[in-house]
Amino acid sequence: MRKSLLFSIAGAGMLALIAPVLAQNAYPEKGRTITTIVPSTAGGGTDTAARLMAPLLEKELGVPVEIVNKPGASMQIGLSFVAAAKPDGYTLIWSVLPTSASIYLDPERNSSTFKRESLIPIGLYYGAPFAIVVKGDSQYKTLKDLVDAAKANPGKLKVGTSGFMATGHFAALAFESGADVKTATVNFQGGGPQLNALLGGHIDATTQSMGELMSHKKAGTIRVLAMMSEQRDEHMPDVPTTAEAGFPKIEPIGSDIGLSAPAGTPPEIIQRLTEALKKGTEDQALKARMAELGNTLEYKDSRQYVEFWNQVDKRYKPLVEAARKQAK
Amino acid sequence: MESFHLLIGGFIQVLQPVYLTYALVGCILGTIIGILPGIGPAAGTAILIPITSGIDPTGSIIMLAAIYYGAMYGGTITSVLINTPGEAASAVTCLDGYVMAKNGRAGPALAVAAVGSFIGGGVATLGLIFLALPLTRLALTFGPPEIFSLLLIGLSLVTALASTSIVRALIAAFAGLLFAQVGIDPIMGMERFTFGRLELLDGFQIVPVVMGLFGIGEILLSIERPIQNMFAATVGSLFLSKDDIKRATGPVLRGSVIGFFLGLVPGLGSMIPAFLSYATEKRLSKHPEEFGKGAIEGVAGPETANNSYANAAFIPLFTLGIPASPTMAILMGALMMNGLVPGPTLFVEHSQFVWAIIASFLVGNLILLVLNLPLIPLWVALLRVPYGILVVIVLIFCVLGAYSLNNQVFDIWVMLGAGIVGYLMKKVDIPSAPLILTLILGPLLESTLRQSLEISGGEFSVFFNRPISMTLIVLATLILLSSTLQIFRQVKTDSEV
Repeated sequence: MRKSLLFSIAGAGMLALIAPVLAQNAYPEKGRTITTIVPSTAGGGTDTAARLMAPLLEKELGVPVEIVNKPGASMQIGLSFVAAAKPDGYTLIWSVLPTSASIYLDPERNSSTFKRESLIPIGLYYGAPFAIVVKGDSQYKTLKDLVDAAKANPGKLKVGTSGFMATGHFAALAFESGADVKTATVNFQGGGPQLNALLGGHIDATTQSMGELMSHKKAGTIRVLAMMSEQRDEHMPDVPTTAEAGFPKIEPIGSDIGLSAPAGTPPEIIQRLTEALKKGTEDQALKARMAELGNTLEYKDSRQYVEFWNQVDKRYKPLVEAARKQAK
Repeated sequence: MESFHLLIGGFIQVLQPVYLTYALVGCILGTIIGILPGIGPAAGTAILIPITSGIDPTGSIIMLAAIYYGAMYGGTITSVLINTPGEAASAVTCLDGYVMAKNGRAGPALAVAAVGSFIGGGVATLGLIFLALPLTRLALTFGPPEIFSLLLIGLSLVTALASTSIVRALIAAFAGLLFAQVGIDPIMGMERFTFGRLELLDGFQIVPVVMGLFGIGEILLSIERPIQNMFAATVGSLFLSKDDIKRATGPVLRGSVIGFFLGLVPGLGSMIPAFLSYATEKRLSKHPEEFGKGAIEGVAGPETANNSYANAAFIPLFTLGIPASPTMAILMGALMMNGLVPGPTLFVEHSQFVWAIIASFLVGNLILLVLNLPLIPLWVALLRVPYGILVVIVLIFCVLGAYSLNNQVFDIWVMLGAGIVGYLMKKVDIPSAPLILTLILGPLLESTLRQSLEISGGEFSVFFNRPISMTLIVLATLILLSSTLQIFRQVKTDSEV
């Protein structure tokens, strides 16, 4: 009797010692929900891509993966929320570069609640390359036409972006400095008004991601002058890169979206999530959908994503400063 | 004629029991979302996207669209019954709808909103069927200068929202403009009046402010009164009288047109059409003094306009892939998730799908009408729930609703703060509607002004040498002049001003 009691106490003690280890191995615990934060509104590009990935992660991890939108303040609200969350692998964020980086790269912004070291990158999911676009019947047939027009009338060519310090704004600045021209940058509030102004002929060109534009390109209502990336887009083989169009100094610009966790999340959990994300990106149906949306899948593991993030910091620092200078 | 054939094809598809069921479920869910304060159409459709993801694309979009226009109608119910708009577009309905309910006319108020919504939705859908492409071209002529001038008209109509005196309306309007300054400025990205609060970087959210000013304000005010008197004590006739129908016809027709055209302009949002319709009706009315005291025109016009707007907003989405409002952006996401990319090729590549959706709008609006007219007695009966119980339920829903907007506790505080402000404004008899209007218009005015000037290189002439913009400015000036005359007339008769 007594012996068996002793044994069971010893057993319980052993269990208590092993339990934390088991718990770690058991991530994610059955029945617990992993909450992934989308720091922008429902229905946007990041949200759509996240919602396509969530069921695949669910399949890999065996627990529900929910999406919660916490939009606002150029993603700072969502990022700050996750930065302050418990680092247990149950609260993650779909992190968007360069938008996330511009928060701490910008000296004018109060970024005490979100810093570079607030997050651990889990893995990179996809990229949305940016392009220089004009209206379908525009007089500018090539990127050179556009640059020539900007050179002939400095500060007159109207280039629309989806917002101040949005990725498109950095793209417009990269175009200016890379082609050595001066344009009139018009920052809209969101992609809708920006596209309306382009199609209505109120502005001359836009710098933007291709997601919403694939249908317009097919219909001929817009013309894509160049992709701001290192290689051509496989879905638009007829469109040259900026370098091929004769302007190698225009820096490649794009939005890159990955999954990140709050700093302090145990490496085993990160590893588990990285693997799940990798499996997800290999799904055939997902590949097809993402292609339709104009996105390029570009899986990178945690370490590669960190390196990628470092490069983004380096490359965008001068662009953030240029945006500030332009505002003044 | 070709579109007519395609539409028939669409009807044949939609009238299948499966799709009818989706439309019906969507209408019911939408109405519920509309009724719950705070959870508006945008949040509601976003929350329900996962539910629809198991259905085939046509079915899921039919259901999401039904949720959307269901919510646009459902918001009316709480505006009328408890002075708390279920979603932002129904804020204007509080002004006369709630007073009508207090006078025992909740039934006719809800009935006119249901019928008006049906007609508005129908007109907009017919416009989508027969005029989508020419209208798309018209919408594209609206660049930042035109939108700015259009907003000026909205601003000039502020005085129409005055109840007792123009000065009081202007006080509220200026307060609204001041509150609109809070947040990151749209052009330079500098923080204004944020006091280091992250949540204020995007400025005040309209919905919690509206819920606070109207709903919470009313609850606070009711504390002073004997307990039974907050909500309508008497329940009179439930349906529209001949006189009601006569008075509502004009506003419904004008509301359809106003909502329809504003639905084509991206970025305006659903409240501006409702406000513009209200102001228009008050200006055109032979008895403007009845507005704010339970004029049925004040419910009929805005409610029609917001539903007409809701349906018309599909035009730029389908033809250009431009989401004109946050809800449209969510629906666009849903379309894209289903492999249907909105834009100029949508009608060509997925014509069967598009026409089925369009047919579903007509069917859905009819379902909504058939669903809601018989429910009116039930809603009105809610007013018989003891006040002590009802007020607690209202408060709970307001708090949940405010939180669910952005999953943020801060919005609850904004709502409660706005409630206190609303209470104080009522005490000193300053109307809250002008404050809400300028709070919405302020940021839009600022960004379109700055964008226009960026386009023109700083030349203000951009507003005058574009014909549409010029016309709108002339119109705004005329409205302003006529209300100035009105002020002078008032000064003669009313010593208070």
